[in-house]
Amino acid sequence: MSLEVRDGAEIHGTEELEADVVVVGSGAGGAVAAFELASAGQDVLILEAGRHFKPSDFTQRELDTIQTVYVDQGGQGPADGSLSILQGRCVGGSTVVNGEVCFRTPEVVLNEWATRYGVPAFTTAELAPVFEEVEKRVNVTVNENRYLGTGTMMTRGMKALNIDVKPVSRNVKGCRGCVYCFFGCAYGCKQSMDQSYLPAAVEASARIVSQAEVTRIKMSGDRATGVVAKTPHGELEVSAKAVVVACGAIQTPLLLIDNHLGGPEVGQHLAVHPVYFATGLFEEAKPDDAGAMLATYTDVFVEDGFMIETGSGSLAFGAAWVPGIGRAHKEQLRDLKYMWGGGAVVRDTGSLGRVRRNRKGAKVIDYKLDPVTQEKVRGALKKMAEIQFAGGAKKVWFTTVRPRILSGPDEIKSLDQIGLGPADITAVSYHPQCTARMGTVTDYDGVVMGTKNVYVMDGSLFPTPVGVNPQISIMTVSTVLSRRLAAALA
Amino acid sequence: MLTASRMRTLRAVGDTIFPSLSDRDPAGGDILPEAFGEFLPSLAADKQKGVGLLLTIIEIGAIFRYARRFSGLSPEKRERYLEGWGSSRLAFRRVVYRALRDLCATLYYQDSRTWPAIGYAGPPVARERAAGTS
Repeated sequence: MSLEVRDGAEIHGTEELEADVVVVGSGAGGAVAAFELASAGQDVLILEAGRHFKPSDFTQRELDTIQTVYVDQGGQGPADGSLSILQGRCVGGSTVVNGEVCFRTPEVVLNEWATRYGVPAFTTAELAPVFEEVEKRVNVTVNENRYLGTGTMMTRGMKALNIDVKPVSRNVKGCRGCVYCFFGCAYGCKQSMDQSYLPAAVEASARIVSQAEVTRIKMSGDRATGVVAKTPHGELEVSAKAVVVACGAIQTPLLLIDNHLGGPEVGQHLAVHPVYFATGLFEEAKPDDAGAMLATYTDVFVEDGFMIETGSGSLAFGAAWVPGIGRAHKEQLRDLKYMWGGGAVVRDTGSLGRVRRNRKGAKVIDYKLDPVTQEKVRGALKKMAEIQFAGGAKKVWFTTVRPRILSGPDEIKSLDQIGLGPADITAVSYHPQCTARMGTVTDYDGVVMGTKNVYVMDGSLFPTPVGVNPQISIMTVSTVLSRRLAAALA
Repeated sequence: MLTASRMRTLRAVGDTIFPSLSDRDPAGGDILPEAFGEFLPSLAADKQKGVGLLLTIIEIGAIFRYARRFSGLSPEKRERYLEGWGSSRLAFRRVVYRALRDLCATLYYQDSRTWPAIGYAGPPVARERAAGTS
């Protein structure tokens, strides 16, 4: 689908615009809110800080996307480098660079929100029809067999251990089965927001301006009157009846903090779902056209605090993760095609992180595993090693800073001894959440406390991390809240 | 941009982490200066400074162990020294090692000259676009 976007770089000087609702951010939260509000007859303006990339802009050379799309060129996270929080800064947000994995919010999480955090009206029964609508709009489909080849070895290992393993569901249309999803879909098959919700929002007469970074929410007492956005050569002054903040769980709290909104809890309770990779060395080579970047998963370890997903990236991307230096590293690389991997997505409850500004006004992200979460990580590493060996791996390793290569299942217990502190192992995250939680920073309609009409509609709202890839949860919550807002404005 | 002295360190670091094992396998020192030159300007100013600092720490740190700068060490000593940072008991050293190694590894293997040695044919979409099939 083609998408009409106005490039903010065309704006010189100060331009004034009016809208019923201004939506800040065009990812899973903002795009859906914009579509719902525009469909209900509201005049919607979407302001996106990043640029607009078309499928033909993506080259499948990972570094090109890291440099142009990823926030902080992929280096966003705590200063110690223990965690990279990967976010897309572009029209469509992180949905443009995710692995397309789609899960509904688990019932146990919704119950936790209701019982411990008092969130009403997010019951499985009430959300079920909304999930269905969202899934239809982004074309969620169960991975066909031809996509599963990238996960062959770990899938085999799970089957050998009688672990229930299933194909993942993804939001794609005519997927070619390449392994470059994290770097933008060069074929336009991924049903990211720029290929699904945003064209529908524009059809319902919403407008989008790219390269327009909102810095200020204009307030008159407890009412927002609009926003101010920086563009490359000028600025936008927007008047609106309501402001929807949907910049993702890092930028949303920063925008609120910068505008003295939301109270002392803004930016706290950051959860990220840290992901830890396990690589196994096998007898069998991986074919170049094995399948999709993400293939299968198991959710039987949810109560242990993690999910396991299998898949693969390109050889160039995989090579960088092969441990060690010097001749040993280079010699290990001769077996690159025999390396098969997967990752554990850890549910990091316990308010381990925080987003804040330092005294110079720079973004700071604090994040450190607590002992409880370290044990979840340890459990995940041990289980992944067990699965790899059961699948036939000769060697297994992780992203530990000190290279540590396991040569057989009897060495798995040595993982009980390893440190899992910030300087011991490296994680990546695609799922920042929980930094503007419903119930404290906003009310249950997403209205920021102390304001009448500043809304949050993205993963920042979640009281606790959902434990699964969150895009469908974000789209669904945004659907519910934006429909309420549309009703209130009507 | 990196100073001439930091470029010298970077070349030495590159040759140590990624030695050439064959004619078609380029050494890190032949890839990384150019790769850093292209990548660093896309980083925020403080991160660019941080990268420069990493190189200086590695270069000067060798003096305390070998009474010589890193780039003046033999290849064997350079490798032992860098590995020592990765397995150090001091968290700070491991953090420096990781930051430098991961950045070098990402940039090294994104250079198409390193692909023949690892058997990577490159992005399929580039070939498909050239052939008009995509």
